[in-house]
Amino acid sequence: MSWSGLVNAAVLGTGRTAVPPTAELAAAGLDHDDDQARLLHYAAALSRARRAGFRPPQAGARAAPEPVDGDSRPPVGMAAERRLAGLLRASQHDLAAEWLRLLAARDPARRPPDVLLPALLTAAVGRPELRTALQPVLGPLAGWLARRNDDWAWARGAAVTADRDRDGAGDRAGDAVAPDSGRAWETGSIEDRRALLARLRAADPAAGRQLVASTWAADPYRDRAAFVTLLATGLSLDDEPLAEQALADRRAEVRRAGADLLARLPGSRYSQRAAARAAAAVRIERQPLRQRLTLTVPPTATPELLADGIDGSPPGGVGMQAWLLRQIVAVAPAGCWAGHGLRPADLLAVADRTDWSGPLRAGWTSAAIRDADQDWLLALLGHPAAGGGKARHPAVEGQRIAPGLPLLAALPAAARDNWLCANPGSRLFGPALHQLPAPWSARLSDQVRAVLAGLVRTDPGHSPAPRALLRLAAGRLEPPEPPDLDSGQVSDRLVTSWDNLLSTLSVRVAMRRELAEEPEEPTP
Amino acid sequence: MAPDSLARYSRDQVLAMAPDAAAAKAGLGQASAARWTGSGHDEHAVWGECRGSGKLPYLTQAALDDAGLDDAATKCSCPSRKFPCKHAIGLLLRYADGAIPAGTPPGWVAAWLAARAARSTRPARPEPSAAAPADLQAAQRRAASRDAKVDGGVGEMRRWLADLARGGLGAAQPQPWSWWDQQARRMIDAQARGLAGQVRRMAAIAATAGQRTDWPERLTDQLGSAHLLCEAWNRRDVLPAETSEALRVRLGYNVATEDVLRSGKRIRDVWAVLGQRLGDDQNLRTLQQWLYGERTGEVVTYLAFAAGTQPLVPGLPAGRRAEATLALYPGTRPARVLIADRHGRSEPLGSLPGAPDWHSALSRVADCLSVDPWADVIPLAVCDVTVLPSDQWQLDQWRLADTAGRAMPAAASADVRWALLALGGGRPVDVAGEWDGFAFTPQAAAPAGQPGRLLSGWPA
Repeated sequence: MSWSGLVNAAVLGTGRTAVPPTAELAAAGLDHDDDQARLLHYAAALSRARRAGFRPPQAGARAAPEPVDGDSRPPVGMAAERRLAGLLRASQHDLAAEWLRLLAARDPARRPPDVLLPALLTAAVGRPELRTALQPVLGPLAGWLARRNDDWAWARGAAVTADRDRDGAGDRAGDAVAPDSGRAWETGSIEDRRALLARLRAADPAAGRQLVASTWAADPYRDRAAFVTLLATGLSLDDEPLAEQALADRRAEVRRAGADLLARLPGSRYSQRAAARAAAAVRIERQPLRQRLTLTVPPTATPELLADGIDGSPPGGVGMQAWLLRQIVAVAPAGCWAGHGLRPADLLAVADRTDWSGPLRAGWTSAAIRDADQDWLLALLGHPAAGGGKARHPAVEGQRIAPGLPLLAALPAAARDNWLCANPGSRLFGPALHQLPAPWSARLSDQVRAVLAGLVRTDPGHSPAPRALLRLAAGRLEPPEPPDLDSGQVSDRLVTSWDNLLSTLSVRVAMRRELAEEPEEPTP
Repeated sequence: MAPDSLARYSRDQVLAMAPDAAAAKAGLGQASAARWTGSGHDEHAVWGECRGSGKLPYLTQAALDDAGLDDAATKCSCPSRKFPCKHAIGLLLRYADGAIPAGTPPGWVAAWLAARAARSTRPARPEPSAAAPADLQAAQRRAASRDAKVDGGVGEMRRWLADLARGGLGAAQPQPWSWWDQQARRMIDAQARGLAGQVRRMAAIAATAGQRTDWPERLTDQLGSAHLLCEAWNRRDVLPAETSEALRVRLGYNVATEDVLRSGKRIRDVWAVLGQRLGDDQNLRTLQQWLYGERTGEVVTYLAFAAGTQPLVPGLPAGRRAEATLALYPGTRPARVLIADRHGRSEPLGSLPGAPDWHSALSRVADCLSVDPWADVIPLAVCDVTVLPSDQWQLDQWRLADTAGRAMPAAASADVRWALLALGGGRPVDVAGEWDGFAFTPQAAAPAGQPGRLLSGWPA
């Protein structure tokens, strides 16, 4: 009886198929009176024989994958590899991202452990921060793996670019505009095309613009809007015609993207129009001791306003004129108010004396954030409406959606840290820390250590905020040193969180030490 | 004192001593400077006072084994039933970090060390030959009554198997879990735990039939194995001694660890831990390791069980190599072992001790089966295999092709498969893992000729 014959008989059962007696069974002295007994004897003997004699089949037609190109960077040492493996197993993705950033900054360069690359690529799916940290350290192996797994498709191009950058041959701009970018543009998925455009705009804005223009008529409106938004990188007056074309598009989404792009473009005809319109709507009269605002807002949206992307249908509860005023101010360049000799803070104060301070401030806020205008951003942060007032318990009060937070986020990093270090008692301080990317600057870290030292001593009572802040600081203090405080002073309720802070900080110190090690080259 | 004595353990080694992942994590929390006062170490011990939730600090101490093993005896005044407790792990972590200064042990440490030294010079346990004849008779009576129960269980199992053979595996496959479980419970009542396991393995194959096309083969294979157990039990008096021992273990008879340590065959070698599996089924935690002897070429398995909060007796350090004397259980293949003695510290793995191709690796299978025909999972190591991935969206298995062009189906989680592919990058890799008669599950691997590492089985 053959193995496959036996399996068939076993599946069917002896009720439906016979297992004839054989001389072998008789010779072995086994009872063989009924079909069941014979089947079971055969199963025992043949299953053992099959295992004892098993040899895997020939590989056949399936081709072995082409080996990946070598990576000139040696791998990190074993201690660093085990650390990263542990972080990934424990789903400590923030620390894994930091590990990757430290690796990227390492000199001489090392590559991430090959064996952990799939786990890294998988963890980076749906975790943008981890992906951003991962991309700079990817080498040829990541591209090679990603070509075999659609979940990692985003790593296909990135790995190639990273590799090319490291060769250091020629200027990066020239490199990035690969000769086949035109074809990649025409045939790529929307994610690929966006990534390609983002890369091109950073390196060669004109080439990026040409790509967008080349398929403008054929692209669906959502893609057109997305591409126009991406043109904000490397924006110049050369982009004005294409942006004007977007402003005249038949779809509102594209028109809005075009208007936003033109508003970012100082000197464009659009911004000149917007500035003139704003000046006409908000007139500043200077009198001997005080200033006054005179507001002239059209009662309904004119065709000219609509053509410049201004929305003529206010949301519920908002008056038409307030809605138009807000947008008129918003699309005008933030810098266009400087001509009156009034500083932004003064303008805000004057506006507060009118009935229109709300829409005016909303408009200025949009413009300030879009143009990253420091004077305006700081003035708006100083306004009570930003929610930056003094907190009774610094660092743990305040709301995660305070109006001041987007203003802080729009500030350049140095100015933002200046503001935070100057206002540690503000209600924005704690919520802002939660928003800032890791790691914090050394100056800000010092300030946070001082705040934490006060916090854990006094413990402002029943609130989850101190624990959340300790947890946050554990991952972001840079360098990863604890506040200068004797642990005996920590309030009892916070001892566990304090210990966790210390232990996370010590892990981060260890990570640095392990990554700095120069592992011996593996002997061939 | 040698300068490296400050780092007698690495952090990883300390964390590996933790009885479970929760204890390791808790230990990390105890490792902060804030907790500790009065800590110190000399060449015999580490000690410290740990501030806990209570008023008095806990007195925590660990004896450093002079042989420098990966294990440390610990004692703590805390009420924890975990062993070592989180305070001891925290203390050892601080020690591993070099954060504990050298010093002179206080009285409570010195007293403990003296008591330990006194214990170790005392004879371990009374000689079993001293057992009274009355005890011996009682033991024989107990054994006879157990055998009678197993007799009944085997008889019942034979009838069940005959019914299965008549009705066909095709009809049994869609049966609900409870149908199989009922039979498994009957076998447990008959004190034939091994037969219950056999039934549950069949149930598991039947339950996952939708995911694998080879379920008829796998079920037939188990059917044969179960039948062979029953047949062998009825002929146990004429079986070779080793096979008879294997039979008893496979049916669920325990072998006392004292007997293994006293009379089991011993092998001293440098053992590479090339596979580890941690299980947590309801209240029972298991640890299983494959140990490869570098000098003798022996491959054995270490098994430990723990219920509830009992500590899991650790094996050798996973993913490392360590010299040890092992005591072998009789019967089963690959032999189960106890760790009788450790000699020196563990080291990182070297290159994997693989066979040149699948053919020669599999040649060990027949040897195992000739003694223990129920050996269902066999560790194998092969050098220079190429990973042949399947198309991402095809259900076809990945394969591992050796230099002779034979391709073994790879049964592994996606994580392990991709890790293996990445490790080679299309070039040959050395792998060690286990073969269940149908497919191979890689557990450790290395780019050809390079030092190996575990792919799975780390504590979570």
